[in-house]
Amino acid sequence: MIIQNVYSSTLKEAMQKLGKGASVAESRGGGRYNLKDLYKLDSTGKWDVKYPANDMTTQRTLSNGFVKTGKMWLNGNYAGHYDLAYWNGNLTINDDNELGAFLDNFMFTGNTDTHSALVYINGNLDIHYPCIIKPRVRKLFTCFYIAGSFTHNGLISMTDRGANHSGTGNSHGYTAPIAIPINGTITIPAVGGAGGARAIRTSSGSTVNAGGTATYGTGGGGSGHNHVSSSGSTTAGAGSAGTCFSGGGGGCGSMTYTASNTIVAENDAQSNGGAGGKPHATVNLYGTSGGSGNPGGMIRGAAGSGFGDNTAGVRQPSNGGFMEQNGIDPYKGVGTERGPGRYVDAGNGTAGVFIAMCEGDYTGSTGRIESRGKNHGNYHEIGGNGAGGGRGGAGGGGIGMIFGGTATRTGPTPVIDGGAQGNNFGGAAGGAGTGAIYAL
Amino acid sequence: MKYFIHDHYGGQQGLIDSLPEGYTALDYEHPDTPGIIEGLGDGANIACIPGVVAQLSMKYTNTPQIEWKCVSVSHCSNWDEVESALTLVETEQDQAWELHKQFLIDNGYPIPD
Repeated sequence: MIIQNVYSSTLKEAMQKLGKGASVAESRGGGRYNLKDLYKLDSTGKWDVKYPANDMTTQRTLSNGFVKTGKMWLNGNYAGHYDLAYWNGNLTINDDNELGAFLDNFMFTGNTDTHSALVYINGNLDIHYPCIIKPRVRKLFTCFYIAGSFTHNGLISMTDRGANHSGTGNSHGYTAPIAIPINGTITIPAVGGAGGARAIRTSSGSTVNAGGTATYGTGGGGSGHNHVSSSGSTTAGAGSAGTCFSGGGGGCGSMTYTASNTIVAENDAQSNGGAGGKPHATVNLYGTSGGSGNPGGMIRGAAGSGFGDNTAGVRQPSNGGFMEQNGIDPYKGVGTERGPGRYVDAGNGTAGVFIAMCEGDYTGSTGRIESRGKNHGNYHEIGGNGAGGGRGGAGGGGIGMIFGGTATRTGPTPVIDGGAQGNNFGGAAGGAGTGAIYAL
Repeated sequence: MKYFIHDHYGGQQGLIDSLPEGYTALDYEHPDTPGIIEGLGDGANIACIPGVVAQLSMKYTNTPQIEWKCVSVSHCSNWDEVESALTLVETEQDQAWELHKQFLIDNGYPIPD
């Protein structure tokens, strides 16, 4: 492992600085040996050999394949820690080899929230269907630099992998949001789209406020759904703004028959990729649902009768809601079909940031790059064993930016939708992020 | 008026070329586009691309409420499919209200107007 801090004016320059020379791996002949060991290594040609960074025979024996780590400053601003994986030569990831699982370990460390994931391919990168590249944990951002061409027919996802860089709750550390200059032309703003404002009602009906958008930025989270059945003065929680490292989270929902409620800060989504809005402290006929975030807010069961297994006034993970959007899955739920069952992932996760730079062509006909906000399953949940009430807000969309070095930039456009507003008293939609293809 | 939010990477060119009367096509990367949608009110914003921002009749109570909504049309290849996507949002909220109403009836609550 090489430790190297990097100071650059742009992310492109940083990737080039880190990539050059990364192929010169350290000799693995260091250490203490007795003469017998030395003779054995030397006689088999294994003494003082400088292995390339991507040598499979040695990498498979390592806990990971990372070659560099350190801190990064971009245009004078601290951009967090990074981990860099280097691949020397062309890399084809297809379903005929076993690289998929290995590459998860090769490309991504378990460093959560405080680190970006950088991957430098010193050659062409060719990803086949159905290979999936997605960090196992939340990252400040993921950036691929490909010295050759990039052919993408697989799936790259940063959905749910936006960082909780708030330093609060389940965050692994605070990193201040900064403007991230990519290539001297495009800059991701420190603050993305605004969060949807608190939704206020004083009469029968519903109100929601969707998250906003920002040029080159992530999307803001949506407010919760505020529904007054008969009468009352109620407020649903606000979404949070997107940042350079995460889409915004969603505010808590509210649904009452005649009662009023009072909103407090914890009902709003927390800033910098933090927690989703928590449900209201009191409930009446209906329950109340938390918003999406890191972690997602729970639901609180209703006080009325006929609510099945939900215990009144007790917060618990959201049921049936908050799914990763899966529009391309032919077997996805339709109509009012519910999503994954209770306790499955709830509303955890915000959309992250993915950037790819290739010096050659960017092509691919069936590939997909996603970083989407978390949304509700399209499921109405009032009675029975549901107590969701007015649903919490959806998350803002992330960033998927592809930079191509030639005029051939025909590969798939990243999908960066905000979480959708469910049709069934769902929380407000998150704002769209930025999904685009640019010149390197 | 309805707004078709698209990007300029060619994927929606067929829909742009056959834009029906009553629609305005807006490139989401144009700096004016977010302000146009936000200015419509109802807390509407651009949530998805491609998407359609339209006033829909949402039945949260017995009296439908007209609201601006941004609806994903990423699965649509023609305008009939787009219209179906918009109608589906209204239909599913209608169904949700019927379930909600039945719940109130079952539990002895008057149905508000």
